[in-house]
Amino acid sequence: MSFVPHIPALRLGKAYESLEQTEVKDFHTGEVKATVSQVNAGILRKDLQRVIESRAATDKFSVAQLLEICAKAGEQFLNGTLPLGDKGLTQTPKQFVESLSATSGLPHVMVRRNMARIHAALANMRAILNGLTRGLDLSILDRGHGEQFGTTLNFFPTTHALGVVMPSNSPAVNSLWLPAVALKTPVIIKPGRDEPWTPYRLIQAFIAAGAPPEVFGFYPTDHEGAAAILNLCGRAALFGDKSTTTQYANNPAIEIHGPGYSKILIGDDEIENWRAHLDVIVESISSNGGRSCLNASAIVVPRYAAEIADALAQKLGPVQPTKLDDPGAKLSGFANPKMADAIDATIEEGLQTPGASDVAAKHRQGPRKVVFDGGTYLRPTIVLCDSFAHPLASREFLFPYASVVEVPQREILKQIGPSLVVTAITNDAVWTRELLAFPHIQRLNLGPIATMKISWDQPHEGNMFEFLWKRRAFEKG
Amino acid sequence: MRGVFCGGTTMAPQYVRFIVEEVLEGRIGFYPTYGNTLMGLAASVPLKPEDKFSITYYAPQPRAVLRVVNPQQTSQLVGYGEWGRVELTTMTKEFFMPRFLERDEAIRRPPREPYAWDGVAEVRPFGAMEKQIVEGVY
Repeated sequence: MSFVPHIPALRLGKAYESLEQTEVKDFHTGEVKATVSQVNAGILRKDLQRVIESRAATDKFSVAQLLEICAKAGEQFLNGTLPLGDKGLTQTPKQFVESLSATSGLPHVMVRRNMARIHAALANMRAILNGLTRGLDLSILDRGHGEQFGTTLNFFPTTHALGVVMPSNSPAVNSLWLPAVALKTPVIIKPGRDEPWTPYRLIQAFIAAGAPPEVFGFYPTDHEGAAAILNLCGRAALFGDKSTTTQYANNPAIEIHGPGYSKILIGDDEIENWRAHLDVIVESISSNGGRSCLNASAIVVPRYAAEIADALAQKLGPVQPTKLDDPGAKLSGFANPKMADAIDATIEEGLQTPGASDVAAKHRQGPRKVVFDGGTYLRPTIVLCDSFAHPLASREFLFPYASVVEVPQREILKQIGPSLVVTAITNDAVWTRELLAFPHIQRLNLGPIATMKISWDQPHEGNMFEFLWKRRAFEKG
Repeated sequence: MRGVFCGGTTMAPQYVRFIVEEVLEGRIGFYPTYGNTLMGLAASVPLKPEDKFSITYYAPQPRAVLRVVNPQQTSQLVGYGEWGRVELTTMTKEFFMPRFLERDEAIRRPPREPYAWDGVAEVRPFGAMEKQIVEGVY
């Protein structure tokens, strides 16, 4: 038996060992931690012709039964020893943490936090569906129609399967596709090249909990294969940066999960208290190693920008890389050092444009990009920008990075652009009304709430129920 | 349709498997060839399970001879199972062209029935692993 696990493709639940395999390597040592079977777009196109059979498998379950399966799958994912690959190997939670950490650069403590987040999503699936459906009697989806809210309701599925093109940056993003299973929809996943671990373990957890294997497709593939998923699944979710997502931006069948550009705004009425809010801002910038689209990447204030930038830099600048198993670890390594090179170069290039300074530099006492224990890291960076027009003001990077920009309160909403999350620290009633009416914020926190905080019953990034089911007018004679 | 005759492009083992199992579904013959106007056609031997879909071509000797040589020292053959550059010698009544280095690389394979000479396997553009190559008819 091989000690290097082989992770097969799962062709509608059936393991497929390809003759083409990639290696997932320890980002410190280069040791191969797993091989992953790769399939081409042709295999995807062929399998997607049969996906209606997978849909039939989920239709045998009621939503209530699928919710029970979700809860059990959450337990299995967090605590179970589950199959790893097709060679008889298994994986304990500890091994999952170690493998994912070693190949992604995410410290153990952050992997565990991501696991807890996924577990909570599965355990709270009933509340999530309640939020997504606004309290719909879910048995109506089993029957196809029913009476609620004093009217007749009929919903039909918009697709036979949900395609998901995953990133490699943060395991918890997998929680976004989980509601599809409870909503009777098979899931066709292209894992991130460097992160097969989480979706594969989740699928095994679902199967161990009683879900039919054919509900899950796991297709490590190339760009052409990803395009096949996006174009043929009927409904798909795409994670990626702007260059990846732009071509699909106007396709209503594809839900884009691109950069978050999440922000913290402070109003005129609270700006004198800015010191009291520093911890919330620091957490928003640096939690999860700054790798999430929920992390704040811009701090927008009407006054004291230089003082706030310096105070943030004092707290974040000295943060150093640590051993992966350090419980106090705050930075993630880069599985692909070239990405760190590119980010570092982009920031340095941006700093050449007048109007911005890296305030954290003096507190870092060393370069931004460092090699520690064989891994490449970027240390926190706070850039003070003189306006939103500066090229570094509206950027988001895969490490603790934020700009601090001084903008008069009356101008802030005109300048900030779209944001996944905005935390607005203000008690100003007029500005609060403007914020509540502002359409380019997907989740609004009023008050000193970290941007990373999410609620299970409130979708903040698209509504998976409305994506997968549609209501139509209906009458039964 | 009884069979598919093809050539002119890289045939990596997983791609061959895809064509045989998924496209032709094992019901239609598949006959990859390698060649050009200087060589004629090098036919491939029928696949056996132990080949793991790795296609080996045998030159139409004596009209043409294929060898797999060390790209740095082209007088030396590479060992069996090793990658090297494809070298073609054409010996017809009309044309003699010794030891022409093709723009291809391949794995050297031993003789196999019905051929008594070496074969070349998994032919792909020379340097394919180092840089992106545009393939096509040229």
